[in-house]
Amino acid sequence: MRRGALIGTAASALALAAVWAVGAWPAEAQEAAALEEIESMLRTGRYEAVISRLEAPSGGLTAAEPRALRLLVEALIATGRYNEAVAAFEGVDAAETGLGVLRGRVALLAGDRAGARQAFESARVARGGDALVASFELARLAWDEGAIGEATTGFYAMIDAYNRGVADTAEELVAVAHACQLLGRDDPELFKDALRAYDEAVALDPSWPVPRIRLGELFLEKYDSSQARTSIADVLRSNPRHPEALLAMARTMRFDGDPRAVETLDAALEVNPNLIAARVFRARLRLASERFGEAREEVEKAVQADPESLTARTVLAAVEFLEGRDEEFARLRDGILADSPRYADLFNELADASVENRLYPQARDFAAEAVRLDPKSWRGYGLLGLNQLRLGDIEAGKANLERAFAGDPYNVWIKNTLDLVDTFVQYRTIESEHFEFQIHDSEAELLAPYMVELAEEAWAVLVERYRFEPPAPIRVEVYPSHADFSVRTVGLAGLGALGVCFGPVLALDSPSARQVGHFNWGSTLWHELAHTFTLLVTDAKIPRWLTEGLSVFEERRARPGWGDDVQIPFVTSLRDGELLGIAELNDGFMRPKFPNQIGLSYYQASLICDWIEENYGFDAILVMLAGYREGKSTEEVFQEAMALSLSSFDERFFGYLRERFGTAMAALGDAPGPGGEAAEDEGGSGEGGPSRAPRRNLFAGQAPDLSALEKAARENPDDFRIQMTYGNALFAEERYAEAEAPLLRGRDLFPEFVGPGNAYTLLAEIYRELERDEEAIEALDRLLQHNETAWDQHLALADLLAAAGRSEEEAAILERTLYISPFDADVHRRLAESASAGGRFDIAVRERAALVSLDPADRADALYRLALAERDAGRPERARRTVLRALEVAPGYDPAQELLLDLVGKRPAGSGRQPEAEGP
Amino acid sequence: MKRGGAVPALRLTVACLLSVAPLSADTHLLVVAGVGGEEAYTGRFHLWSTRVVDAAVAAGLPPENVVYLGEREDLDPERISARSTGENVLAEIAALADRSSPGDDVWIVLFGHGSGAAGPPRFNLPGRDLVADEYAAALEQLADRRVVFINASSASGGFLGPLSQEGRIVITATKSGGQSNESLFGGYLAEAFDGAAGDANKDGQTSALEAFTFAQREIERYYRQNGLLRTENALLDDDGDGLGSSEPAGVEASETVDGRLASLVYLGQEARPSTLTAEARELTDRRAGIQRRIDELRLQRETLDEEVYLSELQELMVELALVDRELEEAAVADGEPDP
Repeated sequence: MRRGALIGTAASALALAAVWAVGAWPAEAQEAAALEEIESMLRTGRYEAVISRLEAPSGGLTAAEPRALRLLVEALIATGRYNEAVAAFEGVDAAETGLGVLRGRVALLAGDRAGARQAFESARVARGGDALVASFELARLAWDEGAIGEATTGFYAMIDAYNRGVADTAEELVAVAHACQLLGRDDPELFKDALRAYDEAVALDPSWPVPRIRLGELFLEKYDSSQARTSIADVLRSNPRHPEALLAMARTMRFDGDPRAVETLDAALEVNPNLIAARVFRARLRLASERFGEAREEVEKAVQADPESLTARTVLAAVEFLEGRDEEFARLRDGILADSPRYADLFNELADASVENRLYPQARDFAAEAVRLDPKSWRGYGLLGLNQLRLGDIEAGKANLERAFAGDPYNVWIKNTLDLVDTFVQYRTIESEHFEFQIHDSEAELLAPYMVELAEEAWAVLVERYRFEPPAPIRVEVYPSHADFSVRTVGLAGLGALGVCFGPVLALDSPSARQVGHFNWGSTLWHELAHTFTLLVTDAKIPRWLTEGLSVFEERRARPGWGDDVQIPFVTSLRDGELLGIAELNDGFMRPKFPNQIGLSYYQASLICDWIEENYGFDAILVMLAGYREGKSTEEVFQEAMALSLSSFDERFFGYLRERFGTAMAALGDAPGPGGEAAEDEGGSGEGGPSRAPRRNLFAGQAPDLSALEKAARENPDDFRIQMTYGNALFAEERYAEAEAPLLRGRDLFPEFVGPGNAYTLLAEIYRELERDEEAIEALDRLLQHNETAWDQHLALADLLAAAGRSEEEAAILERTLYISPFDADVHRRLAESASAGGRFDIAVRERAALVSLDPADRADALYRLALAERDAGRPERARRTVLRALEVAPGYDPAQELLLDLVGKRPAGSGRQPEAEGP
Repeated sequence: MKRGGAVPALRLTVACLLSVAPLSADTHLLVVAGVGGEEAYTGRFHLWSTRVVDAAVAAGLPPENVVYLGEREDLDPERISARSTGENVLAEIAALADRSSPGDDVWIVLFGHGSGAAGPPRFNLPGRDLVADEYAAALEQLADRRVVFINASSASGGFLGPLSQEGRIVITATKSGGQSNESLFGGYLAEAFDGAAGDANKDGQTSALEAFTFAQREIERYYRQNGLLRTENALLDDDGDGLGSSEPAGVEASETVDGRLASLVYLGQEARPSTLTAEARELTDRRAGIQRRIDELRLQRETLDEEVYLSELQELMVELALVDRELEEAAVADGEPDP
């Protein structure tokens, strides 16, 4: 850069020019030191200070002018002041000073593609220090415009430069790496080269953040969020304000389901409000939260900043599509394709947005369009395959995933999914009238009868309630490994959910995938099937809160104790005004602000459904579903179904909640809200529903001071926590008679509390100790009205009922335990005996068959007893076959021999012996 | 005869007549309870040991053929012969060699803790531990006997290689020396012998294979039912290859597959019936013939049409059932007392 030229032409535009125009010039060494300091400021995120220093009239920098200009422009870029950055170049021959690439990038950011091309071209021709990078940028421009051939040639030239050893600066190495990354679609081995080149760039200039950010983005592109996070975190450690690093971190967090993604993205946009990629990402998050209006607002800002941005226009097209504005959508789509005819990511993004809004058939179709447009869109094949799998088209899905994997073998999601699909041969298909179950061979025999029975029952109930019959069969995949279920759902292990619904396909954990007492597979299956109905009846246009709310609502109606129960954080959130209004409730699922907000939102949504049904009847819910199907907004739907505005609804609903939980709210005193201590009280949450696993007992402390507690309990009779803490402490000391009173008081203050340390469980124990069995039964019964996973308490209640001779009730409770764990042989034996005694032979057969499938040590006897039950149920042919199986194991087993002789009419004449009666 | 008594009587009769090998040989048992380290473990290993000792006596072993070396003699002076020190264990194996004859069955069962991740695989005893090689050397004295060596301790997998030998059954609670967590295998093994739990084929006796299969199954159930990660995988080796199998086959297996020999060796010794009537002998021969045909049919199961198979199986099972009833009547007529 020539100083004179700058002084002569840019004085009016920038203070920087003035800086250089006046004053005495410091010595070169001083200038260099000053620039070092400024560079350091830039790399630690003190952008405003950089700008201010370089714009200050007393700044006086000369010898390092190009460097000063670069620092200033980079600071302006980082803060989104693109027009000022453009102005900074006025009168400067950027190409000649080695700043041509920077000039081009500034033009690009300002939406001036022609200017950018010109700047890159000039830099390339000038053969300055940035000529090689300029060549890359030109190829990149061609790539964006769909000139893939031209771009590819340019990218390979970068590799050639690397091989010739002429790419030897960090920036050149980043360009080489980026070229390799883009060429990876043709040759996936090049992804490794990209990693290598990024690593070399990092080694060459460890404090320059760009290669680490790009490396992180590459890792994330391949679903390796852990490495991505490490790489990006390195940048943020030295510069916590780097907008691109913040954006990359927000993406990684979003990938990991980390709720801090939103605040991290906000931080990026706070530093650089014009960071288009961040605006686009924020719009995508809004889309995923079904906040289409806000998504539009966000992406329009991006389009305004860069009207040619393909990514921004793509998201805008997604908004139009999801809002049902078909003409606008078509116009945008056609415009994007006119500018970039092979831009497959248009359809890939549309497919992703569709998935996030549960529009799986549409996602499949968009992905098919992507691969039609670009047969090397491996992302497109992946999306196509995954959505085909979600829709139950396993063979086609697998074939497309294999194509995707052949093209991009580093995609962990695709690899994991293919590995999973390979295991499908180990699964058995069980068909019923409306379902096709896929259950692992090792447990199909045991689980299938119960699952089929429950699913068909749910089908009948839901068809009647929703006056809608989904196309059958519904495919239900049951995974004995939670990791496999997780892969099926999100491509990676670690999902907190229990089940997932893709519409016509459900996937859920098998009871064997979870610890006993942490999961109720019955309620999960019912929950997911309810989704099938509500998604399909609305063409998936139902908001997330309503489909989840209805699923929990349906669970509650299916069996006592099923569905979420109220937790302390829900009541404290209500007390503190932290529950979300109906307009924001989706955010509680999609953009939770604290870890257990998802769980609270599930419960709240289910109570909304309860409230609507109670006040307006279930027909109001049907009207709402019809409205959503027609594309109406929540405001319109509420008006139509209940003649309520959203604010009126909130007012009435929260009034109802305050009344319902008023005593509990008052009794919780100053208990911390969901962000505080009570947050630990919640289990993990996930897409398919929050975990209902047992939580920590909040009332059990170590070495409590009983006399102090006694005094506190006496002085605070209306404080739930104090009463419960005192009751728990007395119970722990085995002072049962004394523990009863505070526990009863705690129960009355918050009757719906069934978490760990709850009054019912302890009272039941106390009553059992004191031989007050009827009261123990009542306490456990009340507990199990709200708790679906308490295995020990179910069994305890069954024992008490058995001891009381209430065998039918005992059997009913034991039946419910099967939904927690069907693996307990004793439960099946008791049910079989009870069923036989009661003449319910079909149940006896089911239970005896379950005992056989549990692979008992005494297999011969188990088979023999199944045969007896089959005989009693009037199935002699089945009995004959079964008893032969028993004799295969133990040919000389006398009772089985007797039964066989009896069944085939070969008992010796005069033999008084009879096969045993069925029983214990 | 009371109906309830018929089955055991028949079992005894049929088992006596069919179990040719055990009839001609004596069975000896040495149970060793290692050092518990804690009261709870000491008690547990003692309990398991006594269950096996009592089961063996109940199954017909003369008390003089049963030796129990325990960690503390004061726990049960009546049953415990001596302290389970290394010296005593080696001395008792030597004594077994003197006491037994070629063709006899010798069972050696170890309950306790073991280690094997670092250093040679060992079984922890009061005082000096014995390592696998020392047991292997001691067992050389028992050549020509059919030895069943069961190490039900944690980290016992390392014993398999050194002790494996043709004609010998080796069972370990774990598959390697690295599985050093507390093992529950011994408890289920003891349960298999104690009572009828392990007698899968209902012939009135529990074979080494049946006991192993029972314990293996119960271990799997325990870990699955409690949602725990399994930390022990028992192995059985009886084909001498030293590899062991977690799912050994049964009597129908070939000799190159684990499980066959173990299916033929029972912890028990039947009282030899004084005489058999000609009728009973004929029935016994017929029964053996039917059983052979059943075994042959079962081998063809995969190649036969299901209905054909079931029909033929039914025919044979009916025939067997009728012979068993005749045998039972013959036993009654012969004056065999109700048990």
